[in-house]
Amino acid sequence: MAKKTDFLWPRSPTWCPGCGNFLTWQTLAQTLADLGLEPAATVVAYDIGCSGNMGNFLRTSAFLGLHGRAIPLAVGIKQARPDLTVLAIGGDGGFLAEGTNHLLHAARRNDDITVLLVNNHLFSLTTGQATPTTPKNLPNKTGQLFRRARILNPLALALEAGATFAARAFVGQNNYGDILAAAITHRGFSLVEILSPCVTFDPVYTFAWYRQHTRPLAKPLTNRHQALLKAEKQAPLWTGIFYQE
Amino acid sequence: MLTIKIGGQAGWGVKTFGHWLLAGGQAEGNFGFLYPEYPSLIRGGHNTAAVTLDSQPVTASWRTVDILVALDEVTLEKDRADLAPGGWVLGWEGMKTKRAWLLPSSWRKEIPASDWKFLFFGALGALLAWPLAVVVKATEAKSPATKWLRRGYRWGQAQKKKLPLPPGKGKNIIRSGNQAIAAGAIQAGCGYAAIYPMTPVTPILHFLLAEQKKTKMVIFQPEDEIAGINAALGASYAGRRAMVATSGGGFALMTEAFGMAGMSETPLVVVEGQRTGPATGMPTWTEQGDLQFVVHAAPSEFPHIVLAPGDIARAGQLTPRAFWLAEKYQLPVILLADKFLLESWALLPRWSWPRLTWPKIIIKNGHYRRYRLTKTGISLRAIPGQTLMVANSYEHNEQGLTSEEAQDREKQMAKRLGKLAGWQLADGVQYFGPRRAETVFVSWGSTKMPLLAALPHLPGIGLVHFEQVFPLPPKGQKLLAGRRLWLVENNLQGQFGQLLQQEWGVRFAQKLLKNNGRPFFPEEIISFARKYG
Repeated sequence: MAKKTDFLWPRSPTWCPGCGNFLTWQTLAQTLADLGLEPAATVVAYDIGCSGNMGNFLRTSAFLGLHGRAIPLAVGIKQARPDLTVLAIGGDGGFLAEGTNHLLHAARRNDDITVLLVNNHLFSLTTGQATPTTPKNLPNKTGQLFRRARILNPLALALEAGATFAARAFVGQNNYGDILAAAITHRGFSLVEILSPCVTFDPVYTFAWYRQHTRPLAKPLTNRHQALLKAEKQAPLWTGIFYQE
Repeated sequence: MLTIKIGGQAGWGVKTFGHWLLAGGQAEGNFGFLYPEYPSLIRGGHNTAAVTLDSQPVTASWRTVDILVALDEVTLEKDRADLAPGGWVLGWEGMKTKRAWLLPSSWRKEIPASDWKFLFFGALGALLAWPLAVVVKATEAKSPATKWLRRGYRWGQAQKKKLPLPPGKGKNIIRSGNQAIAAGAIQAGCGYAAIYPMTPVTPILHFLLAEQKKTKMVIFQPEDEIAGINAALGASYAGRRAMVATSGGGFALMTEAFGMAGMSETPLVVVEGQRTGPATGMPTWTEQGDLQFVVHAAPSEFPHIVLAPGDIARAGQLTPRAFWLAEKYQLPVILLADKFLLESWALLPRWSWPRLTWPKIIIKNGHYRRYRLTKTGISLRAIPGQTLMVANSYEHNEQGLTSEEAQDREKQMAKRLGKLAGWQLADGVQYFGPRRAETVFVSWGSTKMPLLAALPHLPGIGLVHFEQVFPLPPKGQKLLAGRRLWLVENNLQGQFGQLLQQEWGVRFAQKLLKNNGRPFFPEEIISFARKYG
């Protein structure tokens, strides 16, 4: 059976020191091993961005795709080969700006893939422009263009579109791996919004901030509408599995 | 040879009428061609279907009409100009025209417009001297409306003037270009098709769906063309033969991922059915306007192949070949067709399928490198599952992991661009007509159909027809050398001519170009040749 180290390429990640993606990388490798999956039969479709760079560090079968298009890539892989475990990993830029429609339609069709949306609130690989999830109080290079724009909430969108599994996790929380495991083993469409600090371009939403402002849900909510309302709450920022069918 | 054109409103069954004519011709051993014209609407408007039938093979429908079937006055007004000097009209009493069979106007009130086609087809069948059984069978009519068919037939029999169509000896099938491509995909063992509805390729989606129970093909109607091609590449990576089908506008959306197919060396067949563009253009009309676009689609440099079938049978034969090439060379292959080819129907002999030996996919547990450098530039393909496989849209090393090292870049670029070195399709360019012809037409894709119809009327003139349009087949250069060249293209800039000039320095004595949404008719080619010959 594959061990955690079998899921790691012998390469040093290129993320900034302290980046939230290190935790996702390590936790995911451990989780995939814990689930008894094999690197060859686990396929990850990667978007473009800091989180998408994980394709070079997490050792599984993989297709490093185009910006915004990891979800349809994953959908095609799963449709062709239902025997494979298929994930799509990307950021708030790829999944909520360039490829928002793919997220909604995959949720609507209940495609059997796991979408890990690593939300760091910014286009960080292009040095910090606003994405649809950038809070108003987060200074960035293009914020003035979006002063009147609403912030998109990936969980609310996915739940409205029909996601049968929706969760939020802070990369530093204790049961992060359990949430990932639940999403991966869920049959049908699953989305995990991953709160992942950008240590270089985000002075506001730091590890310390998330530790202070997130609160874990005791258990999933019983219906879609309640889950949606809970997911929209900002204070406290709930984490855990909001909804599962 | 007899050309029959029917006209009427959308919803009256104009195209259906054309199909019945082909079915009747099939029973009578004839050959035929059906060219429909219709605007982008569902009810109303003015639809026509022109059907040429003959006891000899028919490669295109002619413009000159022997019988005009006018379901309404608009048809008479709009299509009368195409009537041959001795041509006849089948219409309603009260229509002002010479040489006409006119059905009683009381029947026009009695029978609902959607059933007129039965009355008219019955009448026409009798006028062509087809047996009643052939006429009935052609419509496959089970509804009470067959009584109109019989009434029309009796009425037709009573007419003095008839235009009998002699039966032939053909054992023909009826196929459209879209059907031929769908059948070709099934023949190739295509396991995945992502198709967002778009004229003129939508029927491919319908044909594939109709066969899905048998073929077990995964068919995906995606949220947009971008999702479609990305999903198809995912499916291909995962081990299924995959295709997308779209028109120019849809392919414009796909181009980024088309480049990814090149970069990641993922096999893919793209059916690009050209229609009158740019932008929304004239959605239900034809042109060959996308050649330079598909030749240059996607940024930077990578190998790809563009095949442009010349007729419906060749569309069928080239489709499995396209899948095979995509898989053998691990790259995207475009099948470039157009509305004229895809939505026209032919009554033609059954074609043979190419015999293909498909490349092997390896299954292996150990250390596998997806982009291993080889002499041919082709690395063994695996599929995820037993084998850990990394495909990458970034530049990569042999393993498939991202690399920005100059050495990796140089080696992988040389590998990809070298894959097609010296390649040409055995029948990628074809010659028709007298061997030593001084003057030859030069064409590609669907213009072969009217050109072949015109050629027997133009002694001494040949045709060099390209189906492998990119990269150009070297043997084409030899066929063009030393002759006077006439370029024929369904676009205004002579895009293939530009390509030939750019690659081989070819120059043309004359160009016959057209892009008003209509295909060439053989008559136009004949009069052009007589003018410059």
